[in-house]
Amino acid sequence: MKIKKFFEPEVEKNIEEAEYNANIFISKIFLVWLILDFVIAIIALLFCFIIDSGVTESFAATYNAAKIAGIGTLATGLIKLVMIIWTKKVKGKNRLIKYFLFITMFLSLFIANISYIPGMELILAIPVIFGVFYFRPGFSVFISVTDYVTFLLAKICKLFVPVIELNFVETAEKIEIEKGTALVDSFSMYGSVNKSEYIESIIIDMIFPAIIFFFIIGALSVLCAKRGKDLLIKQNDLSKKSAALQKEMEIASSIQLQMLPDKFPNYDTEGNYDLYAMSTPAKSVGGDFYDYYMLDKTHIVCTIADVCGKGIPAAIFMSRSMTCVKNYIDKDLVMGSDLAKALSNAAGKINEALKYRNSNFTFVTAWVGVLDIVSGELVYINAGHVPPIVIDSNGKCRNLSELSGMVFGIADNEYEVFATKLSKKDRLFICTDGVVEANETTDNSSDKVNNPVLYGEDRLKEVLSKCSTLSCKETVEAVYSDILDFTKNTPQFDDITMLTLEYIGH
Amino acid sequence: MEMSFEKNSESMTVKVREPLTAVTSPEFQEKVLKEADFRSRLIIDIGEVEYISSAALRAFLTIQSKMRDANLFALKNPNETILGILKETGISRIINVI
Repeated sequence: MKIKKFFEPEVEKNIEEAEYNANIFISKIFLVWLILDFVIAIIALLFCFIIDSGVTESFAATYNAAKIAGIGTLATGLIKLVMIIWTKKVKGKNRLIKYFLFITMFLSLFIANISYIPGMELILAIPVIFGVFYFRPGFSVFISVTDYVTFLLAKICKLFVPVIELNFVETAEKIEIEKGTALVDSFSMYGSVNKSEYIESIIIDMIFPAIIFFFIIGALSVLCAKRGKDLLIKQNDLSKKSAALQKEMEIASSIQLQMLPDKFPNYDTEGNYDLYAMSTPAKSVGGDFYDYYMLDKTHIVCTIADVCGKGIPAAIFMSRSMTCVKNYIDKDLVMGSDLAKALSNAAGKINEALKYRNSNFTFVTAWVGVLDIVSGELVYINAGHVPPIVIDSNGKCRNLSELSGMVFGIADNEYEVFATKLSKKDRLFICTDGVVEANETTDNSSDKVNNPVLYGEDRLKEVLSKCSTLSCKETVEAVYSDILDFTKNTPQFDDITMLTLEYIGH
Repeated sequence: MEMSFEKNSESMTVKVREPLTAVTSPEFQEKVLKEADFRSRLIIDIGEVEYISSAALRAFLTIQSKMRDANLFALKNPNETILGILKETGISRIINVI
């Protein structure tokens, strides 16, 4: 039993969409064709009028052809006008429109073939070409067959049109043909040409080669339509896969966001510190992360890190890094122990763990600090990360530029621990390089692409110095807003992550 | 990716002429790995490079790891910004900078 192959609804919908667009396109072509029709009609009818008024008899042989051309093109022009209006009104969305459009087209070409000069057969390729736009091989077969039938009908009808087809007769001597003489009736006027010879010449020279011509363009059009349909099916598959991937990315993004803490202390009512952080990946997922939590009642741990690269590879390594950092910090930093020594040990272990099975040299820059929220003592390590900035209550900035050791995950390393004491209302601003390296390259000039102007540390410090009276949340938002102002409409190039911690010191 | 290779019997110098970003670094790495013989000195001249991203650092480390001897690999003429990045990340400790 033959099973009819049904395409998925989406594919059929795409093909329908292509059909409607093709209808609109052909109706637009009709608009140009219509103007041409009216021009031809005016010229042809004017020509007939001149002969009628007896100004000249020398073109009498083409008189009736001109008459058919004039009246025929005028009529088909009007039909085209109706089709244009109909198509526009329904926006091409009617399954019958295409048949009417092509019938109009065939009618026009039929008129042209019986009334114009020889060689007009070639314009019968037009419907076959337009038929491809519908991506329906069956429809292309229908168009090709109808096209050939139109050609045959035109050839037969032409015999009864009062015009000499000079290609097929020898006119050694000038023959005067009366106005209105039909082609089949004009053979008697030629001594050397008879009716059977003419028909034979038509079959041998026109109809037989035309079969080959029409078969070739018909076959090509069917192949093109099939190819177009296959591409639509592939496009549909790709769209589905893309949509599935997009969905997966949304889930991944949501999972990644949930890994980052989003409960921040209330500046007005809570304890000795204020804190706020945000992370915006350049793609759906990214390699930046931040973390904070209370180690005990008086110590808060803050981490900010940046995995090299971005997108999915960075996100996978980010997940590994975040778990690793938290595990070793939790294990090594125990209440009452030597905090600096424990932090150094933890950093070494994090580096070892990330170095393990990391042959493609994915590395992480990280800053981990522990703040005593009672005394303001800050102990930290910096593994190749952008130096944090401390902003005092007057808005003065200073960098914590000490480097403990190289980035995590590359080579054996020992990490030196540094300490500083924060004064009351001192604020620590830590970010990833996506902040200072944000750039504006909207004009795409090679100079800007090769030498982009970076947001930079100076501008960052300028903004931070103006935020000393704001809360940590307002500070982070002010910096982010300034970055957006700077980068204008440039798509975000790198992940942007910021964390601000203020030692209130009640 | 705008870059050129100069080879002689003792070394190969790769001159890079555009920023090494997340987009250009993989191509840079692939081309260098294809051309290098890993036994003679390999110098990456980044004198005309305005900035590099972390992806470039990873590319440098990957190339260096393929060398028979890590000391055969060197970065040449980094500008102040790039030198800052190399120092900041600690990578200048394991990659020769000349």
